Amino acid sequence: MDTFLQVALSGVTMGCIYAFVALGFTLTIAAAGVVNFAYSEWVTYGGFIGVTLVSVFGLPLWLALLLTVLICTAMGYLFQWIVFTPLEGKHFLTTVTATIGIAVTMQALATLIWGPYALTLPTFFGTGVIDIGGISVFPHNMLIIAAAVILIGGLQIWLTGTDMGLRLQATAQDPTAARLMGIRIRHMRTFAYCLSAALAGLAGFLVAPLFVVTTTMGFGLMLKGLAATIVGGWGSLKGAVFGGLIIGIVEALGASYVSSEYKDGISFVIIIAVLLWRPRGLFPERIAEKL
Amino acid sequence: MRMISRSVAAALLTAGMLTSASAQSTLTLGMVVGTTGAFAGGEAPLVNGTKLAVEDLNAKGGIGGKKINLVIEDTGSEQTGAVNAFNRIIGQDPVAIMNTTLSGFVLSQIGTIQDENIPTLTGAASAQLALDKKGVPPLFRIRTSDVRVPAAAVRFAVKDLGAKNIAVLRSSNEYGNGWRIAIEDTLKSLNMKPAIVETFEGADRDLTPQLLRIKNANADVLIVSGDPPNFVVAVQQIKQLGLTMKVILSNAGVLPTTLKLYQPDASNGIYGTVDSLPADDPAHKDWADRYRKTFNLEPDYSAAEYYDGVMMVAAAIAKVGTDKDALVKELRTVKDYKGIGNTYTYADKGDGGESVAIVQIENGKLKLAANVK
Repeated sequence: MDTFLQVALSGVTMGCIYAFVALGFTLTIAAAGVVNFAYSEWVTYGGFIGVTLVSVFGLPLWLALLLTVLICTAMGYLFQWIVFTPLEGKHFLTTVTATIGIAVTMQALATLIWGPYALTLPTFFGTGVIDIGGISVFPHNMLIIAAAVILIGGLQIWLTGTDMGLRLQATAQDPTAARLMGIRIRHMRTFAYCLSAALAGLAGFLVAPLFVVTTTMGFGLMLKGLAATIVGGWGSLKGAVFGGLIIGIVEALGASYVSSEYKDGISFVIIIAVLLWRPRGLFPERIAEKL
Repeated sequence: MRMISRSVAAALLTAGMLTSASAQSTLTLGMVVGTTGAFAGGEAPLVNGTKLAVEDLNAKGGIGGKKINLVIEDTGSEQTGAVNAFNRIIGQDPVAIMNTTLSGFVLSQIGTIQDENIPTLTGAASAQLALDKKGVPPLFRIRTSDVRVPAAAVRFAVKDLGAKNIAVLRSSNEYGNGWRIAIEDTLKSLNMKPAIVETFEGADRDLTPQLLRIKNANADVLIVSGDPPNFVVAVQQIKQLGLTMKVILSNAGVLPTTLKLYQPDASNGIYGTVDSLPADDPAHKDWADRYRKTFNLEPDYSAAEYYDGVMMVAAAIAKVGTDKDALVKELRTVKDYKGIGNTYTYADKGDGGESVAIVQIENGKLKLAANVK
């Protein structure tokens, strides 16, 4: 039982990390119909910026976290201005190809700025472990789970209970109708890009102590985020969260109770099974029809 | 107008002659390595070691009066990138090529290496690259083969640590698979078998399920093979989950740049395999000090081995010139060459490096635990 709980806790932690990434990844799909493959690098830059602020500028962790999120938000604004706005209305593949090009460039740039060696970030609570009934609990993992619950819950309330959130949802569901209703589509999309980049920065900073910051840190996470997006439902924010959790938990339990060798295989079998059963994912959105 | 055209033509001709003269007065040493991507950090010491060797040779006037020009092509840490980078280097007519240390990448270049017959030196450790397997005459290993290193780790675990139940945690790539096979073979020769073998993907950042299975298998020694980010996660989670067995990491786990990433309280007492510990050898103090001063890093065996590789090529060129067939033949006569990072033999189908050492992490630094034969 102890082993099961320990593995489940680890699966939930990874699931929350995947959910974070999937959520940011899905925001731009939902709001602007853009599959942003440069998102992996936004996460990576979140980690690198955090390490720089802490180890080079000597800032306390909480201030470094805040500044990382702000810098990444500015990065999101810059990207929508320079890259995504000029590409609006272009073919889906044109935009996707552009984001892949940006990802490759950003990765090379990261090597030039931060060098080829892996870096790491300290945790908020040191390296101590809390023992709860035979389960080893790492406080930083708890922080990730708490941050995911608060942020995802807050985002859900904001999206469904505020005027701004409803405008964003309307933009996501039918931009033409939203424009006719007087919603400023461009502003909403800019906001979605900034929010997506902020989430990337937060995810990059929070996973840095667990993952080691490398130029490829975000890529593996984005692949899992993409899988979570597909399982949960293309363009669905709720689906992204549940998709991330499902993949994280299935991976951990599969590695523990079946075989670590086939861990990824098990996850992909689950994805295929879900897609056969529900081709549009567990929580399909109408926006998916756009793609 | 005609005057201008003649002037331009004359200038171009002069520039061409100058370039040609410059090319003739230098020797091109090619290098194919990942300077970007996932393996850039692990391969950076190879570049450092090579650069230091080129610097030393040029400071002494080069080879036969010709300075060495190092040309580096980036693999992007990808297999197709490694093949393309190798082809780009060939186009620059190098006297020798210092190649990537990733076995899978080298295996994908094998056909070209054989066809071109340019001496190609690699730190790739896979047993598959031996001459009696998939290796080819112009490919020279400047490292100890994976046949020897995991076997040394097992022997150290059994004889020095008194291991009865050895668990294996390995990456799913060619490198990890080579380690698994070598460990199983060595254990078989000792009438033992692994307590459990667990696998992880290179991108995995949570090893809790694997480590709990190892814990439940009652292993007393755990041998881990992988890349630096995997080791950081493994070492951290071994402590978090309260695993008490002795741990031996494969080479990348005790690189100076990896040591910096560990929490000191988590890594203390952990063992690692290396080909050598050049910084610990008084005979190589001068080299180690210059390396530290030049790169602001602790020297490691992989940098020393690439340094040795360039020096072996330089010695061969000084003896037989730059004809590639003659160079390959000459390098194939090398026997017991004592370098800074290893002792090398290529004569009689020798497989390059021969030494293996076990080190232990103590307060973020390495101390020699044993030289294993």
